[in-house]
Amino acid sequence: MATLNQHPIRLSIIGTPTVGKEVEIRVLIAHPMETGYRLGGDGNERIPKNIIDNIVIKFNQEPIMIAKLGTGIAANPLISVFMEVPVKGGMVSIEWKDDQGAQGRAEKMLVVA
Amino acid sequence: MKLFAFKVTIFFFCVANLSLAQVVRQSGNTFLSPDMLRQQQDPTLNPLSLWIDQGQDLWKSQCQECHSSVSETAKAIVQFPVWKSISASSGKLINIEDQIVDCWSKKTGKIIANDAPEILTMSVFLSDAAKGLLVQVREPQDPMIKKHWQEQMSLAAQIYVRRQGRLNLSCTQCHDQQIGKNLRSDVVSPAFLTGFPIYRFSWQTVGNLDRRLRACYSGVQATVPASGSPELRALELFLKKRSEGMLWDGPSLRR
Amino acid sequence: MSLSLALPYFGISLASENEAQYMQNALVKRYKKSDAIKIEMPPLADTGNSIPMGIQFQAPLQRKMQSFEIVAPENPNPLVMNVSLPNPQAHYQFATRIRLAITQDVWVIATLDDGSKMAQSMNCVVTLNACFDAT
Repeated sequence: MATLNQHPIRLSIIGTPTVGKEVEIRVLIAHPMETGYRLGGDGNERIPKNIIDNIVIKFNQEPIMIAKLGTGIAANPLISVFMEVPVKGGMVSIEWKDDQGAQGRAEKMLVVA
Repeated sequence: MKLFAFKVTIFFFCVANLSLAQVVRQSGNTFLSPDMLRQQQDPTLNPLSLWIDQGQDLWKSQCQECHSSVSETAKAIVQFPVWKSISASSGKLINIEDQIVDCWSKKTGKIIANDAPEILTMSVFLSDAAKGLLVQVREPQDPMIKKHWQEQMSLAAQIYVRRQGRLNLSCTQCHDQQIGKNLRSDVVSPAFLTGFPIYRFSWQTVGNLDRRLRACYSGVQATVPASGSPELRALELFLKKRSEGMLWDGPSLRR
Repeated sequence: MSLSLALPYFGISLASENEAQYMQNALVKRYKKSDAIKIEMPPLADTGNSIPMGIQFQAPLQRKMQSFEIVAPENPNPLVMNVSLPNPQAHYQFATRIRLAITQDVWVIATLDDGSKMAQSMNCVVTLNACFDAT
């Protein structure tokens, strides 16, 4: 029986990782980012708030960016940060958590060109 | 006299070219803003990539057993809707989502709605695999089925030109006569079906053609038909036939 | 005004997203715009639901940026995002997609490693999508 992964995530590293130059780390997460203001059903009740409120991007387990999100971020959030390529490659990872307790993570190896 | 004949020839040449130009059919993607086009063409920016990734997983776990090849199965995308006979004399049109619901119930024993997340995911996945194919809605060979098929086409053609709703607008008034004009922040397209299912920013999720047509009905403030109703299937057949021969764009972004 | 200054002494915290400091007139009064921050955003949004926004930061005078906030004063929750960098950076680039409720100036307020702040804003016009959609 297939269970659908509730929150698919795509972590991409854009650009050639040359030492000293920057690469772009792009994260795309499937999440409705429900603001709590939209009306659902008959138009009588509000759809409960459900947003990702915390995203941490780490390089070799050390956080390089900590973001607190509000309802003003679009659904299926996209975060893009630039990072300088260090001499040795390493593991880029991203962890997110939402206000209903769901979590997700992804990681990708950054190999120096 | 020679100059006059020359001028007349040039005039008719220009007029002929003008009428030829009107035959060019544009996909809905040509009406996207540069920003949206950039987001659509880059899979790392496009939210639809998440559905395609999920579809890949679902295909491997559920569909691959029966359907060996993705590209063979994806051909259905450009051929549906088709007439499905229920009895000797009756039947109904089914679209790709209805077919996937049927497959899903055969595989898992559960009947789910045609806009359930699993169905939409598979529809997006197959639509992406069908990119580059040409729309080919075939007329059925069997004379009885062909008769039903024709009836549905005529019914839909009538709906397409019929004024409806509080705004008293017909489909053709916008989608044939006001192409390219702005409707607040949206741009009116000629409504060819080469880019479904769509990720619509106003829905903030993926939706199928069924949902989009129902949104059109609510847009002119007409009574919205129930999801899966025959008139929506007939319209889908008509619009697909109208897009015959066009290149399939795959799942697309819309406002 | 004086009440809001007194409240912290009573142990009541105003640290919510709807603080008065995020209102447009407060932002205009408090911050002078700085060229150190560049905002890339379409001046006319396709849709209020998803507006691509890019931020480029180049710190002046050997300083570094340690955090920044994206503020949309006319949104129901003006604080859109708060990003902090454990390793302050002199040069930073960031992009995301935001939601805007109505036409407004979107502000980026960066805090440097010495506590000082720099700000920039950009106006974005948001129009409603076309037809009413009951689905």
